[in-house]
Amino acid sequence: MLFNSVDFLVFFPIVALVYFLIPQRVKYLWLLAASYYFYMSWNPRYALLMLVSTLTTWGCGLLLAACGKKAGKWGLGGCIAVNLGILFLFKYYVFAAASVEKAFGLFHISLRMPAFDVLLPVGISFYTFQALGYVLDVWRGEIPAERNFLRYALFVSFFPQLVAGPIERSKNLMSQIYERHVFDPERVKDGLLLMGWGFFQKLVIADRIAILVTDVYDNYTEYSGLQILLATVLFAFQIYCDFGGYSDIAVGAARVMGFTLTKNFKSPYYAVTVSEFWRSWHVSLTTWFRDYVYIPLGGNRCGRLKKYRNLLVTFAVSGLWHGARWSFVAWGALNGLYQVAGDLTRPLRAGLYRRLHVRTDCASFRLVQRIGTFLLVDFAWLFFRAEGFGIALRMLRHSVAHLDFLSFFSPDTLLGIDTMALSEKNFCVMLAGLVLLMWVDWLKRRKVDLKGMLARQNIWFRWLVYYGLIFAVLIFGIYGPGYDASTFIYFQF
Amino acid sequence: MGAAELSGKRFRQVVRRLCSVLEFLRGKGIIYRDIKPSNCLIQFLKGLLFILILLAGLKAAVLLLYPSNEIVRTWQRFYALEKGEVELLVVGSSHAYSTFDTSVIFQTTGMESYILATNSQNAVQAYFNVKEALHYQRPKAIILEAFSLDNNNNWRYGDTPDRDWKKESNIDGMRFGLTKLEAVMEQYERENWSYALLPIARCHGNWENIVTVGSNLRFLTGGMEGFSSFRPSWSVMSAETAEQYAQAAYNPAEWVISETNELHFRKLAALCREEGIPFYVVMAPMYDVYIQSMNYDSCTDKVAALAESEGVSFLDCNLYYDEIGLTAEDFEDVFNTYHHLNGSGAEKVSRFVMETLYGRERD
Repeated sequence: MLFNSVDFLVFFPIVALVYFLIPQRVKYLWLLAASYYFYMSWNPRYALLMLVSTLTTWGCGLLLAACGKKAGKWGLGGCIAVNLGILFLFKYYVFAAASVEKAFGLFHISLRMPAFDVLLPVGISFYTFQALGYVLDVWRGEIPAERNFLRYALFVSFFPQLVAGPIERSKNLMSQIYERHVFDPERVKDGLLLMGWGFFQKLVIADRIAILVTDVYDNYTEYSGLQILLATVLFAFQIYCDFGGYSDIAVGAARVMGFTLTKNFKSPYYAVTVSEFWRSWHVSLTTWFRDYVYIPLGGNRCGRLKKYRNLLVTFAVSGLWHGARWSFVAWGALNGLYQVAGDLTRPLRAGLYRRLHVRTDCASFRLVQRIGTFLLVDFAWLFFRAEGFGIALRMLRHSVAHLDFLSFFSPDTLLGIDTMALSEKNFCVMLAGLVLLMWVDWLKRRKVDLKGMLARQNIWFRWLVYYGLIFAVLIFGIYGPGYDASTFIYFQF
Repeated sequence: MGAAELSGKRFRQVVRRLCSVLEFLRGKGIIYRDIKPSNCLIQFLKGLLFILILLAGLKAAVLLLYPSNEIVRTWQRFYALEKGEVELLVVGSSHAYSTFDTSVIFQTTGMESYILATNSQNAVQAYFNVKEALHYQRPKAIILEAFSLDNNNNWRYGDTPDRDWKKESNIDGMRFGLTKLEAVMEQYERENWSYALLPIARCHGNWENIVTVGSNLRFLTGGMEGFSSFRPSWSVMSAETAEQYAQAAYNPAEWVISETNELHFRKLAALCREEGIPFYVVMAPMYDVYIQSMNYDSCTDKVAALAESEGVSFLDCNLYYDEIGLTAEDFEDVFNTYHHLNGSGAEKVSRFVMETLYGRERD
């Protein structure tokens, strides 16, 4: 069930309404049933995999609680193997098999790996990581093992964040499942407003940009280098609004019911360094990799070389988490490389600024840093969006060879918009949406309390904002019959 | 108990009990801690007002953004009529709105009429249209143009299931209510119900189309008064078109009345009986040369038999060519299997039908 479907518009109010009307002791059961229904609406069989993951991690948690850290490590290893094994089988097997066959092919050895081509279960990477995070936390003694299986099952399957995060930590979500959630009109209003903003990002901005980006990336040879550059810049905002929009809907939906989920994005495109970007982009995944991969590898307290190795490994694995393609690995590794390079060149840059008398404590310097960071991150997005690593390289070569500077800035066909799939009017709506998005992000970065600001306004103004948001989504949103590009990008991960 | 009977003591008892219920619910965590009767009422009213304004805005958005078409406007004009204004209601397909001239009907019978006919309207739609119309008007008679019984595919199991703009527009034109819900459930497959009930999802993309928005705005702000439900064709059959009809090969295929059309025709007849409204079936004329090229007997016989089985009067205008005084010049200049009368033909036929029906009534 997609968030931007009519089914969800019926499902969510019913779930929320019943949730507030039933007694506290059965609330979690209701949410569990709703979450499984939500997940099974894609394919009922997928629920079995989630159940296996839930059972193994819950059992492992109990085992660790009973046997202790040392004795339970084999159980932990088994549990991780089972869960990562399922993830590998369903998500990476085809890719791994093809890569092995290809590698053998280089030595003229024909190898046929057994076929296992099944549809990727929605959100498998998200709930697997959430469940593994729980057992690792129990093993580290950071949380007690959950004894109630059904409450734990809700922790793994909680529908707002089930298929595309935020990947919640047991410390945060598990305790909230025990809390009493009463109907609070202000909180419900906040949650709905956040959901509305999420829908705006997804339907008005992301899906509008998707029309242009999809056309350019699918037919890149028909476009000039600068048009490909424009599409790649826009893709940075498409993926942000697509995933950020999803996260806001998820956080908003949870808030309506009284749950507080992790903030997944913190104005990432205002970051002044690539590492800051990664501290504000998909925060729940980045912190998961930091806590369960980077730090166990040694983190940054084991010498410079090892630190760089850890960084590259973590980001390459993070890239692979996104999908079974070398281009994802390249994307991840490139982001790791940026940070290694940034760390290595820091003294050099500092020296250069000193010699050239460049002021580093002013807005203009930060602006240049932001633009530089955005360009680096955006270059990496090219590998993320392209259908494969080879295609990404071919696109780069085509872009350089066919820059077509003059026609791109010709007053007759400004930016070549008239030759792209998006009409000029739609392009203007998209730009207006982006200006609004960046303004809101700027206020968030400045820690301006937008909700509080709105709450202090007169009712007519507040309602104007609410109606403006609703009608902007209804009228300018890309949705409805015949439109099939509405799936959230991160569902496939 | 009436309000006047509620004594002060009893009132205090009721309020006290309500407060204890609120207290209990609050204790159970079912309602918010700050709730009190006055807050609760204000919150409820504010929420209600918000939703009402939202629905009104949604309605306005659909009215402005909907692709301009005569089907929706036929409904909009219908809803704008005064209660009791319609004395004769005509339903059916394009044959109905191009044949029944409302001014001639008024001249002949003194009755105000409205043609609630839409493109390719079949008996299923005609039934729901009449059902909806009866919520607003109390006509003295209802006429169904017989082409609605033709086996057209404007139906959920047809060649273009659930994506037929004529069916869509006819349902979109209807106001939201039980009849509309019933019409949607009957005419759409279950997975498309939401599609059918949310026209904004289909028309919101028209914000780019200034012409559509402008046309709708003009119609809604002043054009509606001048809208006529009688929409004749104004071309006159040329010699070339007449020759094409003359050259048409004979088609022996039988006319078919589908089960769904038959079922809903019977429902329509029953509805008219229940409401005590005289119900007629009239076949608008076709060009006589064309009729010779088709198995027309199978058509008229089946409609007649169906009408007779429900005790409904059937008037086949094709049998009264000479009495009506029709010639080739009374038909539009189009060569197809569903050609219509033009304005002059409509005038003759409307007069004939009214005189025939009401002459018969008087007899």
